[in-house]
Amino acid sequence: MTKFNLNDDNVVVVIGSGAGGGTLANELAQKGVKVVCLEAGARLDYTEDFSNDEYGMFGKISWLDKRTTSGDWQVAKDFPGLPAWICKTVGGTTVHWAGASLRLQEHELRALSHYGAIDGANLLDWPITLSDLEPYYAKAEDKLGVTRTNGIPGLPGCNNYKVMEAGAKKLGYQNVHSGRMAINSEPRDGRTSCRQLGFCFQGCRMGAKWSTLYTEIPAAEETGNFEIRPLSHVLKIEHNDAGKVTGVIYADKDGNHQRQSARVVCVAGNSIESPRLLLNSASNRFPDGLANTSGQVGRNYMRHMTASVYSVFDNPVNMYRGTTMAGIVSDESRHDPSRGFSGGYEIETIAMGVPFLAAFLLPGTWGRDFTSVMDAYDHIAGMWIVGEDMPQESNAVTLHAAEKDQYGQPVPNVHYDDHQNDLAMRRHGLDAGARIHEAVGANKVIETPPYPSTHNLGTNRMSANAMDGVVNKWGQTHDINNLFVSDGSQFTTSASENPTLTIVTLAIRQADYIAEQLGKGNI
Amino acid sequence: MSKSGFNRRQFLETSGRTVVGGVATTSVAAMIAPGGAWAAGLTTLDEPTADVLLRVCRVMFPHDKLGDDPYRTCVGGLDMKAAKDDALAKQMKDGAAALDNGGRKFLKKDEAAQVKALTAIEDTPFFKTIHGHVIVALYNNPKVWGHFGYEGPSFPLGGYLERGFDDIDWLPEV
Repeated sequence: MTKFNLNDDNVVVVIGSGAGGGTLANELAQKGVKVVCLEAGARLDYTEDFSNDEYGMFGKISWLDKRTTSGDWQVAKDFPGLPAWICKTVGGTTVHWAGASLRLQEHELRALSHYGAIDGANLLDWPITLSDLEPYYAKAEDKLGVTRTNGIPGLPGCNNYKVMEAGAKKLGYQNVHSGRMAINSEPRDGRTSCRQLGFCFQGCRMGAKWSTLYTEIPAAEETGNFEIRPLSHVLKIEHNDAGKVTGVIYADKDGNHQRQSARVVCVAGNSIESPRLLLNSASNRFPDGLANTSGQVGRNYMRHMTASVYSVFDNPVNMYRGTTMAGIVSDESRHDPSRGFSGGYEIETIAMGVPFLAAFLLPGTWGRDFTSVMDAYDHIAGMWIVGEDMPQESNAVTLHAAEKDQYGQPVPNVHYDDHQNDLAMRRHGLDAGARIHEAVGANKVIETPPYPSTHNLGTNRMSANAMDGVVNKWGQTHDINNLFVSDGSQFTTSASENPTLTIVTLAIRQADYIAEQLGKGNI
Repeated sequence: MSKSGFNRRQFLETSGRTVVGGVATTSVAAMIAPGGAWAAGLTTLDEPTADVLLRVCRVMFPHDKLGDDPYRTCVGGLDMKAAKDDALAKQMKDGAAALDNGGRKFLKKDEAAQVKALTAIEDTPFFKTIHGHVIVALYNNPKVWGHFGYEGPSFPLGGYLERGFDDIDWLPEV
């Protein structure tokens, strides 16, 4: 395997190996750019280390470093130390994701223009349009092998999907199908096809679901232009007197500090760690943190409006058999203010095993109301609603004033208050979900509050104007031209779709730009 | 050979080494004798405390068709944790004693009264510690999964592709 010298100042350092970092690193390596990828987590082998064990895998792949929460969101009450359900492992959260791969809609990329200003919301148009993204979406869908694109058949619908489909169609919903999924419905790209194991959230034991762990990372290694260093937690990004970044300090697997020089640094640590790293990299020259002239680093934290509906039926469903996110109803993802809110939401199936359903169904509850639902476990169907939440400047990732992590650095606090628009949309979505299940005979409907956030977005947002955000339309920071943000924290608004496909799309596009700028000697 | 296109039999042959294992079972279960007594070993908690905790676990998460064994496993887990955590041991002992008020009062109450007694303390650290432990220890125990109709790990069996992932037969035609 290729190894790069710590003093090699010609490399691009990519921080993180998930959907953004892993994709960007591979795309750059394919173009001949030398890349060192620093990943905080360990490198697992899906054929050896993955198992169908909800708690076991959660302990193995999740980001469990100390974090605090504040705000009126339910997650701060139910899971005060776990604001996000994301990963610390090679492959990042592409190990855990369910695979739903949806393009953003044209109007969602110009939320401010299309919705109009909304009180309390820091809405902004993206500095890019759907037509800018379309060629890159096409590349991303091909890379991920998204079903219902590129001639790839849809996955067959499992029981949980069939319940949702029947209810939705009975109600007249039109856009109902088994999803656009980055899960092989037939063998493709050296990976096998889905055998309906369930346990998508625990890491796909088949390798049928796309994850950078076994696609982008090994592909990058084959080029000879790429080195990944697992168990390498970046602590600080350094810069020179000219205000250009020059390298990063990281703690290696033994906790020793190392310095890797860099020509370019790309931050892809997800929307909590990425702004935290920029804030923790404050210097005399940049006392408020790197790339933070706008004051927007860490702000506008979005996590999607979410909730779940689990319903009990008279007859068995066995929702756990088959893919976790097995299908979608897209009709409610339109912008239609007559519903009492702006933006829209998707309805997707979700399923959990007994261990996690007990933990997440109604956190903190007990007694017969709870156990009577659990007793009906195999008669339950589940669905998740996921919609656009409003960016709010006060919803923010900040550095905790007192709490420190294992490296002595301030831990991140994640503050989130629901916006009125979020609350109205959640109510609408829960009612819609209940109606779908009731249309096919649900006799009891449970409204499950949001899980810790898997869709973390917006904390280094993209803006046309340097004072409105952190990065430009290429993910390049407005302040420092050789510092990039390459993950979902770039999102200007959250839109209603699961974000991974767009993160991959932006990474492919960014790789083209970085390679071009390197070639021109601009960075 | 291509990685792809296995039928279930071929799949099972190639994945055979993982057919056993894969489930993280709690070793605590093995330490608790089934059928009633604590004879097989409380390490730290005394029996009166364990008896109260056993009832607290069941009243908190009552599943009438489950015997006492999975609840005993939960108490066994608390006992194991208490062995390494003096503060937890004291919390359990004091909490159980307070609930029982020095006699057998909690255990002698009917379920409704026991629920009322637990409701009165549901914001206490004692209650929250037990709740947080039992929600994992009870439902993450593979021995109870059959009761819920949950089949657990599917990879060792080749997934559900040929084992009922789409066998639902009672839905209306759409």
